[in-house]
Amino acid sequence: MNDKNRKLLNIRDTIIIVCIIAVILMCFIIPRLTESTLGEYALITCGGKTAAKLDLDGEGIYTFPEIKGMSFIIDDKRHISVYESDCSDHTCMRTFPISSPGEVIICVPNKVTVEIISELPDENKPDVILR
Amino acid sequence: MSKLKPDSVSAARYTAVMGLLFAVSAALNLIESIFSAFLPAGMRIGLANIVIMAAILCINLPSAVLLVLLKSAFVFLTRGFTAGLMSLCGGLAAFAVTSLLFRRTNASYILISVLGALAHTFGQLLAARTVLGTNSIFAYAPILAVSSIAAGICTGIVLKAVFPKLERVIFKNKYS
Amino acid sequence: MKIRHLIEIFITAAAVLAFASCAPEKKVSAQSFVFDTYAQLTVSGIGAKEALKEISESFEDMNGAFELCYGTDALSLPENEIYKSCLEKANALSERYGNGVNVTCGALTELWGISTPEPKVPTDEEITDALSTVIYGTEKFLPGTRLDFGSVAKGYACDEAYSILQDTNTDYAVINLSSTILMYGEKPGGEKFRAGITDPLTGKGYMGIIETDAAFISTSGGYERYFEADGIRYCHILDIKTGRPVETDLSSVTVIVPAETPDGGIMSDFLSTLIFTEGTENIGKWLAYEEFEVVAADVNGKIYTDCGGFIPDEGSGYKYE
Repeated sequence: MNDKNRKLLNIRDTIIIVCIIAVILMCFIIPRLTESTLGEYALITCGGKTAAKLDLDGEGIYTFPEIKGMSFIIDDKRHISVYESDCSDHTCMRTFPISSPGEVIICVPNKVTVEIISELPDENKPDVILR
Repeated sequence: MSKLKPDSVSAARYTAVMGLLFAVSAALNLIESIFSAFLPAGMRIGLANIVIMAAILCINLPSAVLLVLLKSAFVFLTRGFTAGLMSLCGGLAAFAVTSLLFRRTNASYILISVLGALAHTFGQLLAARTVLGTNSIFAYAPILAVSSIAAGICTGIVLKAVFPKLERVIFKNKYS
Repeated sequence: MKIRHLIEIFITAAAVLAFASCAPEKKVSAQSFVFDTYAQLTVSGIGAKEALKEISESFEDMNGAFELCYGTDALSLPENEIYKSCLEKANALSERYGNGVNVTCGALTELWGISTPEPKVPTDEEITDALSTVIYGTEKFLPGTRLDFGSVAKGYACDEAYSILQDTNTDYAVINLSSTILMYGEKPGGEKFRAGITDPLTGKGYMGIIETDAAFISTSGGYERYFEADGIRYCHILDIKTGRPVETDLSSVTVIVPAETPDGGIMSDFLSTLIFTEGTENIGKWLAYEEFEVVAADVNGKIYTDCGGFIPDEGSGYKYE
């Protein structure tokens, strides 16, 4: 292709970009609209496995034996954030506290995620319940 | 348009040009870290792609790959393994998309940059997901995508503006 | 570029095939209101759709038949295979295990009206009269004898479902009639079925989960249906000897019968009620039977069980020994 004739932007491409943006916005907005905004628990995973489920009503600083070098803090407004971390970039510590379902804080070097969920996960849901 | 081939031009010139591009990518990386403060794991929005795209346009594909590798090595040495892996995956993804678009289509600069930045981000997400083990990082995908698109637009504009002049600088002896 | 085209076609075909082979088993569900309860039927397999249809129809027929018994003297009821066979089976169970459960107590249940909008506490005279219409074994119906299959209907229905499932090409199914269920066949991956038992003290959550292969499971307890008068709670399970709601120190009894057992459904339904009426003093005798397993809880939160697959729920506060 002749690069000298390549345009900066043309109509076709603008439409393509606008469509991409529209799709992304939809992915963004739809979950927000359909979810209740009350977060009940913070699910903390380490290396893909669940390490802890913290009730957001429990204020305080938390550490876990499986998660070395990190501690988490829940404030009195049901927000959780990373209190301390020994990771190299500290991005996780600079993230704002979270409290709504779906929000996450991630520390990639430590492989830790903190996610807000609205109810406990049904890992062991039975097939049927007898009444 | 003639491509700068390592064997048809002096090694010195080639090294100088590559070194320059590498330095630019490192500088851009630094600038990007301002934005990455708000993103998990220091994800980048793809500003440094401009260097890769310039290499694809003005030099050749292997050199562009080399730049990706150099860029990732630099990140690995300065910010650690995770960051290096993310840079590598993002860079290779962006390279693949960008080179295909430049070579095979007549897409505009902005579209190529945007798609390249998105590929970069997606590559990073995949790397982060593999390291983390859970899918939760994809929650950041929408916001990352939007900022990548913005970065892509900027990169595209800069590239279009810079490209002719860059060519002249590289081929100084031939076109002056 | 012919080779390239061929390769592309091949890749597409492979992708489509891979996708199709991952397609999940055909699983169909239906819900209805039968036997005075919410029924949920789930069937999976190639013949699932027909099986589901047949079972739903069969349930409708049985439901109609059982409903007719209410308010009608047994002697005036039309000849019906369902009554006959259900009555026979109930009698066989009474002979083998005990007559604390009786399907001829219709006059008594109607007197109390516990599952109706107007339950009442009847007088002693009324109770004696009603009790006199109850018959045992193969005695003939008396005038005034009424049939109430409530304690065995669901189990009987599950047995019918079982034989329908046997005749069709089904991989697994869950027939859920709330207090009696059939878990049939084998789940993909060989996982066991898991059935939760509602915590009788709170009516919510579980007291534990049973992990089992295909089986009939039935639960009885006083916590779902009852009415209160003058501060006393009257549960819907009646003691045939006294004519009043049974007084027992058990809060919930669950009986598990392996699916291959002939008439295992009606057996589990019958036994869960019977064991419930007999209280903790007889529980040892029931735990000794090998053809079925029991999970029982008393009003103090203690669990009695011989069921290997029972996993008590840790947060529920039950003492497990």
